[in-house]
Amino acid sequence: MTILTSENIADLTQEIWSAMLSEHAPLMPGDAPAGDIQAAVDIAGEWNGTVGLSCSRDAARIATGAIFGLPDDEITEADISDAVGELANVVSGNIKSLVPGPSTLSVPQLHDGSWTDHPGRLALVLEVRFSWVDEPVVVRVWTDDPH
Amino acid sequence: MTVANDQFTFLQELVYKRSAMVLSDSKAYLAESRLMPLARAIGISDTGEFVAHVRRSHDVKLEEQVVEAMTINETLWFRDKRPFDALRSHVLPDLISRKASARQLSIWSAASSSGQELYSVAILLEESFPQMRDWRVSLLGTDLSREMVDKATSGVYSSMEMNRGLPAAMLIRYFSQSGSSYRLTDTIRSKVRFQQMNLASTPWPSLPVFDVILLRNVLIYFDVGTKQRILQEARRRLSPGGYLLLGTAETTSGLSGEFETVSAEGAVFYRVKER
Amino acid sequence: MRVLLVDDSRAMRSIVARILRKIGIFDIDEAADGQEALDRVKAGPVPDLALVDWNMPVMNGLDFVISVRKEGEFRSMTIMMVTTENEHGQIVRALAAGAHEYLIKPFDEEALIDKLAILGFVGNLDEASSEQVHS
Repeated sequence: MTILTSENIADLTQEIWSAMLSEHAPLMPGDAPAGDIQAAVDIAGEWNGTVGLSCSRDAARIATGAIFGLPDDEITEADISDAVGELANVVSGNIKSLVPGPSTLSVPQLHDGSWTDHPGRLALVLEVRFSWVDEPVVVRVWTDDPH
Repeated sequence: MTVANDQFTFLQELVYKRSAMVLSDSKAYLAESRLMPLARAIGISDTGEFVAHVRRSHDVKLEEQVVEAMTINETLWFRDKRPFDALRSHVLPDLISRKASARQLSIWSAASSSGQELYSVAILLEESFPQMRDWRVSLLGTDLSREMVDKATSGVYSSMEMNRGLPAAMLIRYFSQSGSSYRLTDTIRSKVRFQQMNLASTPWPSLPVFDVILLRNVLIYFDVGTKQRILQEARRRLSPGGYLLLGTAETTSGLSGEFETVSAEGAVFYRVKER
Repeated sequence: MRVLLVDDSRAMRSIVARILRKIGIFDIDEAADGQEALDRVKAGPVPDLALVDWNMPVMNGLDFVISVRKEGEFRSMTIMMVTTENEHGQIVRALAAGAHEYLIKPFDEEALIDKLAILGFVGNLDEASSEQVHS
């Protein structure tokens, strides 16, 4: 049985944001559909699916600056991939605990922000939209699990 | 009426401005239980109305009290460590030797919130005082909020809550998996009882006497008169030789002349003065 | 005191290092996987504390704990897992392998400091967390 709901995902993502990006205002519900960058992590095992974390370039830069403690002009592309990748990793790790286990997580893969067409043809089952520092943040879940 | 969404946004902004701490949306449930005592103290019986009042009044002192109430972390396991060290090394050994013939002990967590304080005591007894397993031990938690009483009774906690001060060795011994959360084992849950109670509404309903009363970070919410009444009520519920624990920033001095202090492990307990 | 941060995410190492520096811990070394951490420990000096992620390439955190405990000579090193793996059974495995503490991601600053206090690396919990509240 899975307890994968938009509400659960919203709760855990907001907790992750307050824990990892505590110096900024909290993550709020939002309505913008997609960002520019997306990090995706596969969950494989008893339950199979992919979790994507998408955000705007500006949101990614602000998060990266906060995580690495860097001023904006010193942030590199590698920093951004690493920061967004780790946020996606923690979100997926927490989603993993909501679905039947055991399962393992892949290393985060960076994609274009609007990437919604899963290569393994899994179905997009959930999309939760947030607003953070007036920028879009979206969590997506794909799975072949019918429940 | 309770705290509405835009009111919670106002609280988030106020807390952020004053303390630089971020209240996540998932903390909205706290507003009710944390602000109710403040609301009552100024004669408002509804937290929504109270937040509206704070917003209109621009009363700096009141805003400070709100920020303090919203940021005090009541959800730690073994919160503050020192009182628990003192319970383990002084308070409980003293009570055990004095009550060895009755073989009864009662402990009350008077503002039990989501239950971590009382469960920490239950775990401490199980860990350090196995000789008490055949005693009659009564562990009671009370809270103003029905929601908190229900949450405490369920004994279910999220990962974030488990992270706060609970040693991993105790997690594996006294909790089991419950979905993505953790649930206290029946052994521990069967030892405690939670019920709703308003400490500010004196005289209190009939209660047994307790050997230990944990009354931490409660008095700070009340005016002097209410503080005095609460201490007077607590004194009447303390067994002879029993111990009262207040919050680190709280004291009976200036409020009641009937207590004397006992220090141990850097924690201060209060006992009724002998006549 | 000397701390070794073992996590394949540079972002996570940066978050933890910043919290450690805030409480006065500056002697911080980093490794990106279990094998690198094992090499680092063997080369010395042995850290007082290792904070170890679970899911990492090359050698995962649990295997690192098992390997380092097999060596026997690194008993003085305290190990805390810091990971999104949050199942009761995983925590049991990690402690059985020789980890002393376990912190679940995400965690906030206070949660990390609470755990360091449990392990005896920082002073009283009030002092540590009230510093943050009033700053």
